[in-house]
Amino acid sequence: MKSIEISPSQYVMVIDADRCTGCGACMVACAIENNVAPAHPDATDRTGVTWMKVVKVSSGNNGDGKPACYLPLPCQQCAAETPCVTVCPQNAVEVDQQTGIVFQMSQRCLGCRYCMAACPYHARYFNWWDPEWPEGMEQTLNPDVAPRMRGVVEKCNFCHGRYQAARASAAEHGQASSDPVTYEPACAQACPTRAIKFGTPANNEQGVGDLVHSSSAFRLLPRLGTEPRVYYLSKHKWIRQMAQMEKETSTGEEVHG
Amino acid sequence: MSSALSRRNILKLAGGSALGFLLSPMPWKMLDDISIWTQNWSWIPKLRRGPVTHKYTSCTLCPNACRVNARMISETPVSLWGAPDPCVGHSYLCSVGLAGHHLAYHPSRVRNAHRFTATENGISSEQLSVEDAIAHIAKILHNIHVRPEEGEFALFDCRPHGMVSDIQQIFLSHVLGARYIVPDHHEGRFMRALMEMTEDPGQSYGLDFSRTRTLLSFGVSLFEGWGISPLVVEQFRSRREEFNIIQIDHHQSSSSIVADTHIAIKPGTEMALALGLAHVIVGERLYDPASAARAVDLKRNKPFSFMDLTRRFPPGRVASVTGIPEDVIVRTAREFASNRPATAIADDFAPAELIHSVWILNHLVGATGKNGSVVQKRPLPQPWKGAHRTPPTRLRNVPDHSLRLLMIDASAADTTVSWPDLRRKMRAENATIVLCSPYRPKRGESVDYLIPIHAPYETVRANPSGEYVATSAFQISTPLWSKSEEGCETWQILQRVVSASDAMTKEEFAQLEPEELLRLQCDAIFNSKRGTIHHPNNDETIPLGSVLSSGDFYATLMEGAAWSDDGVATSTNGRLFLMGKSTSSAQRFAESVLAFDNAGIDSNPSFPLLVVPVGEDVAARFGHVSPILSKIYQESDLKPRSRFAYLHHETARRFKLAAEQRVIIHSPHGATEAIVRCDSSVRPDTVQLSVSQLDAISPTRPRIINSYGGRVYTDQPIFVRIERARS
Repeated sequence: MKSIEISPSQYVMVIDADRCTGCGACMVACAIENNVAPAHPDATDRTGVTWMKVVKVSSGNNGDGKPACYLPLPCQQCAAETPCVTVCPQNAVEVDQQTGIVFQMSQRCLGCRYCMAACPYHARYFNWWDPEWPEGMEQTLNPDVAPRMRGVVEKCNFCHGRYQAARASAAEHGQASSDPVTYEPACAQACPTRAIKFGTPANNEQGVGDLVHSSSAFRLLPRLGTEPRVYYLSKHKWIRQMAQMEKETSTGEEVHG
Repeated sequence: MSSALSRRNILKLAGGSALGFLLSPMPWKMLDDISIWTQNWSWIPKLRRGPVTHKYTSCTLCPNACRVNARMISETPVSLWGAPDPCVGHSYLCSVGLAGHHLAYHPSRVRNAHRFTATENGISSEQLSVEDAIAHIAKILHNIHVRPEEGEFALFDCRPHGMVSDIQQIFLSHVLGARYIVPDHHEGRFMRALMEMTEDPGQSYGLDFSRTRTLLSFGVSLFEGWGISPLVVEQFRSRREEFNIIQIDHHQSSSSIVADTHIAIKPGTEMALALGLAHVIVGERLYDPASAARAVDLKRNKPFSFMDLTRRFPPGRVASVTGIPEDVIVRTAREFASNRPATAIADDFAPAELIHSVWILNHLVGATGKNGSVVQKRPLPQPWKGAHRTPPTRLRNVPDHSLRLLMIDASAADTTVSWPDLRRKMRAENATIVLCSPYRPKRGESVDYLIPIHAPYETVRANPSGEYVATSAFQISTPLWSKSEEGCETWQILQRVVSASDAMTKEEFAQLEPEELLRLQCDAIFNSKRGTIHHPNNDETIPLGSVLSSGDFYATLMEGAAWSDDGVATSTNGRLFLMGKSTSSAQRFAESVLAFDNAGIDSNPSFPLLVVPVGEDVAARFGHVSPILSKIYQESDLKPRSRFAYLHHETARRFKLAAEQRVIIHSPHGATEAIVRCDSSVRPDTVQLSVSQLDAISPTRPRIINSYGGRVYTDQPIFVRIERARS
């Protein structure tokens, strides 16, 4: 499959798997920022809503000294053949050509879940229950992000609320609307070890422009040709191979998440 | 031409209309509109609108006192973020801290006092005013005052730390016969153990990893929770390449996954490894010559010989005890001793002899009293330095069935109180437990009265730095809500109870408000003329000496600034005591080492599997955290689950067990049910169980510390056998 070049003015996220400690701060920060409700009592790791999900991956005792690692898994923001866009009957998913961000419009979503079936990264979540916050806690919701209701699919959008706020602020300062703005998603801001970096390769914020071209950079399932805008870094060969599905896990239970 | 309307025409019209309707934009528009309407049902929360502001404060959820930048909408916090902290050096919050502003709305939050009564149908709860509850409790205290034979009055401080604990101790010293009880283990125990091995009076110690090249961790949670972890994370973030982490852990923890080297060890044998490492360092003369010269008992034989003790732990023998290959032990000792500055650390809850052994390693490699490792620091200036205080009593030292009235200060979020232990200390009849907490008691927490206190960020609180930081620091945690709900702090309730009972001998502190106490603390710091103030608004640091008055200093702290002390010129001449400064501590250490050496850890053929205890969702189960933490604990598989027994595939095969099978785990002390999960990271011949499963099979209650870090210790190894459960 032909590989396309990601525009240097579009946003990319670079996650250093060797620096991720699995603390889950990104998951909590993401949920707070994007008004994702606490888990329903019946929710499980398969039916919950976690736009950012950290999974533990084991080497199955075949690793090069590192027995396991943590991989934060947001929506991979596919640049090519975006599977969720192709299958959505409602045009509820769109790729913003300027930023490269794949947007989910919950107002249009009918909840058919075709996009969930199509997503090879399992990065989309269906709202099985109405969002509920304990009494009073709804006062602490982020005013920049509308809560979604039961029956729609949602996913990471690189903190679109923050992007819009950054755009508004840039416009106030006279920046042209075509120029990419600098902002940081909640997960990147919360990460204690700075394992998550974000920006445009053109502006090279936090060095992402250099990191995506480093020898330790890789993307998930590259053979599908979806050209994700989320890059990972690891010096460990087995992690890179695992992400590319070039190496089988020894047993089914080795990948938690 | 006929114009008669036939039935066929009508059907054609109806069919054409239906088809035309479907082909028109109308149904799709309706679908869209319905989708939009359904986004706005009345039960979907409406978002708050208003000006966006930022407020700086500090987190009180754990003793680390992290700096917080709160994003506010119309005077209500909507998110919390880390702010640059000059003391620890980091600028992040942990998962629990990120959601700290939710705690005011926790589902178990209470606003009124309650009285609980045991009935035939269980526990009944009756709501009453705080004044009435205080009057009832004061009456009980009065009776104790009049008839001391009825039992004692005590306050249990779940987290003894800082100014509030000082006030409570001083206040209780004016109440006749009152006890001040603290948990058996709490933060800072590891650092305080050093005081028994050095001769620098009046100084305390902190950890400075800024130049550390090798960190040897004996099972410490390095990246989660509180205590040492913020210091480690900061170094990991800023200079990962030159910060070599060796994690010794009995299971595959998050720390062991991220560390450069994970040494998997048999549970309960860590002390043998530490002494084995010391054996290699001494035997190969890898120790720091200057430190060896300071260690007065390195080569002395009386009264207890350090050399004799380490001689019992040659690498070959340690390998058989710990399950670690001999070459790994030797290599680790050489790496630790050669790649310096090096520091070894252990958890506050680790056994005393392990903590002692770890400090021996630090002494040998010259970590103690060196910049970049273990540094001296001055304690926080105290406003009540010479005041008389009730000495703290550890819970285990309180005589059983001696307490008539117990007040529990549960203002700390990380309150992992052992309720059965507390109950045992109460008299069998007419005993009263009063819980001062923002939250309703959990199942199994049998209390008689509940008095609500402020939740985090609802009131002004003193926030001194944790035990581990290299220099003392002080911040004020200012409230995030401008108009807090009615409420007070535990020490204020204590004062009101004591005042109403006539049990007090002196009226000191009785009239002071929290702000006045904070001012006294600020005066003490200001008068010391030491240290610097960092203001997060402009990220500027100024010397305290440039501040004009104590009032200005207080106002600056209230705006979110932090004071940190000056560093201390570390003395490197002080003597070190490898076995312990006093004869009794040396004897205690020697005896516990010899006891381990003689007994070892042996399994029973009837109970062949050794339990590896792990913390699972302990923060959520035993403490109070934001419900949003369910993203981690419930909606992901990131933390081990409480109902599973994790086994290696080979172990499962040996016992003819399969994944997802229901099993019963038997120990000599009881049995518990679990579901089998196979995991290649679990050591063969061990079973990994969560802390909540241990209650049924452990002879003593497991100890939990750093609940978010999820570390669990048991007093002795637990051996079990596993059988399939009958369907």
